[in-house]
Amino acid sequence: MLSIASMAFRNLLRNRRRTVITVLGISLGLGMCQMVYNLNLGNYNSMLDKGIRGLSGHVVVQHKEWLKSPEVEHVVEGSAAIRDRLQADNPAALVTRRIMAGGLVTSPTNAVAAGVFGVDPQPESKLNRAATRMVDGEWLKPGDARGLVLGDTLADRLGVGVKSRIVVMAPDPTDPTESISLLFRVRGTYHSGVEVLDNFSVMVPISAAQPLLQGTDPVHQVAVVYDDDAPSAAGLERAKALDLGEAVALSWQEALPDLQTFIEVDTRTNELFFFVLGFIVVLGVINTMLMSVLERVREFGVMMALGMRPGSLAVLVLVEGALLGFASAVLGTVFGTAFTYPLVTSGLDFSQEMGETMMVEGVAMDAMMFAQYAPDRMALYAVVAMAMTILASGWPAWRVTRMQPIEAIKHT
Amino acid sequence: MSIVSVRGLTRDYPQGEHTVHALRGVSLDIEPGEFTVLMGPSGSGKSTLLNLIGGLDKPTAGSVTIEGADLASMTPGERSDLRRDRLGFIFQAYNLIPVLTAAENAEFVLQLQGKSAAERRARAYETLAQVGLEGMEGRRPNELSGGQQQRVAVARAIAGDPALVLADEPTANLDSTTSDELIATMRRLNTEFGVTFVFATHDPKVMEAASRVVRLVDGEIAEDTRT
Repeated sequence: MLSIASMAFRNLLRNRRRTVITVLGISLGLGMCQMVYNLNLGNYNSMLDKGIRGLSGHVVVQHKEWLKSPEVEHVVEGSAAIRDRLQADNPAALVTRRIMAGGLVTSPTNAVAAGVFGVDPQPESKLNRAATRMVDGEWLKPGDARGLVLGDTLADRLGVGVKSRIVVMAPDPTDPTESISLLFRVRGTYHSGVEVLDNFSVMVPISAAQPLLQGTDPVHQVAVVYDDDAPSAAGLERAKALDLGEAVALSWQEALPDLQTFIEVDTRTNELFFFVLGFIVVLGVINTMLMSVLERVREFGVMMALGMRPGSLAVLVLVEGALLGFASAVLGTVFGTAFTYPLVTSGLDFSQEMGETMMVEGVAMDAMMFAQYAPDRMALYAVVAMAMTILASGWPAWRVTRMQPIEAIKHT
Repeated sequence: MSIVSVRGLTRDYPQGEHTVHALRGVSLDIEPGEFTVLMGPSGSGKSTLLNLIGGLDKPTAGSVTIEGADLASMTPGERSDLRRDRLGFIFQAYNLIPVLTAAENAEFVLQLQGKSAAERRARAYETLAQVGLEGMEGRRPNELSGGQQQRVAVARAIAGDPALVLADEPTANLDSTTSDELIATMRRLNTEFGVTFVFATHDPKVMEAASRVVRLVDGEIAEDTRT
């Protein structure tokens, strides 16, 4: 069967070297775009995961002014009741409460101003970066009202270790002219890789930190964390339906606006890069197709003399472009998959550039970045590459329709 | 009715500040079954006349009708359809489509005509046999000699069962023996199958085989002889 497709295919094979170079050019560009997207996706998801698990939650209840002004007095009261209700509404989720205060952490040999984080030990054992990076002793236990964990660097500065006593002094919330002192015993030390956590933070059970705040059963956040983002919208609706007083229920996008904006801006920047790359590839395809057409002007003239309509010749050129695009899309996706694979399995090590971690919009990013396959986006990029190749064939195809048979036949 | 009727055909080409008068008011009728040769020196207007008859070029003045249809009143698409269905072309440089086999080249016009694959294949093999190329149907042009390629071009020209085959210097690139064979083949197609040919040529051997010789000089018919 002599079809336009088979003729187009054979035409592409006439100058195999040019066809191979063009396909390689498009496919490598496509593969690189897919790889960069996959790496960014892995990076963004890692950032979101860390941000959601450590800084907010898929749904977070906090004082309505907290986002604008994270002052110690902006508390959520009746936190245990809210936590229990959220837990009842979301039985599969982790629900945790958090306090973020400050104080003077004192040991027998030194005193350091530090952040004092009150946490629910049980859920935070699965969420908190420190809990999963204990280097000595153990994480906080529920009911241990005097337990404290701290960063290994801070422990060195204070000259303390496991079982040492530490006093946390802070302003009295009921009378700022007075201070209160809370006695703790060190249960463990951690090394999170985040300087502010390792150098300037202690973590204590929520009940032990509550005296640092005003109000009834106060905390700064009650967070709901799911295994994935899917139940977030319904969970948020249920949380908003609760009587929260001065508090509000927010999605993670609302609670972490800077992180969301950062990801959106970074995504747009990458898309601009992809567009520029695509534009360069399109110019290459136009050049290839135009060369291919100009080399065959006489042949097109003969075809027109034999009765082929100019429109059919244009279709032939477009089909050649489509075949070129299809081959490039398939090969490019193979390249993209192959390029991404080591980044998924072994990751990309940026420790030389950024040390152990780097803070991005309040989220600690690990130096080891891992890619994540995005099949839907890879398919989309492949389709776009193919469409761009067909579009790039449009001008050469149009040129063919403008040819006059007699001039084309005489073309040398 | 004449297959071709040319009346007062003029074709001028601008060349810088001058105008080249390739044809000057030529009138001519071609009847079915003729084996007509347009002869004359280079620049006499042979190829120009052939191209105008084939609807590949537009006249400056005058008219060309093919089987009663005026080419000037047709759209480019209609002229394409006319060439596809009623005309065959043979070129000096063979001009086969290099990516197609001999059979596929012969099929090409039939494909454009919308014939079925089986019909196309049978007709292509039949015409290739008529020009003496049995067994070479699967060869690409670069696997054929010049004479064989021109035979494929002849097969392609007649495969669509045209009313008229226009051949522009078909033997110019062939050696004497191959040229003789090709002329004999076309003459046989003319006598046995009634294919009407119009040649533009310098080749005296083609003129010897012709049933009619039209001599052009400076874009005008100087002599029109039937043998």
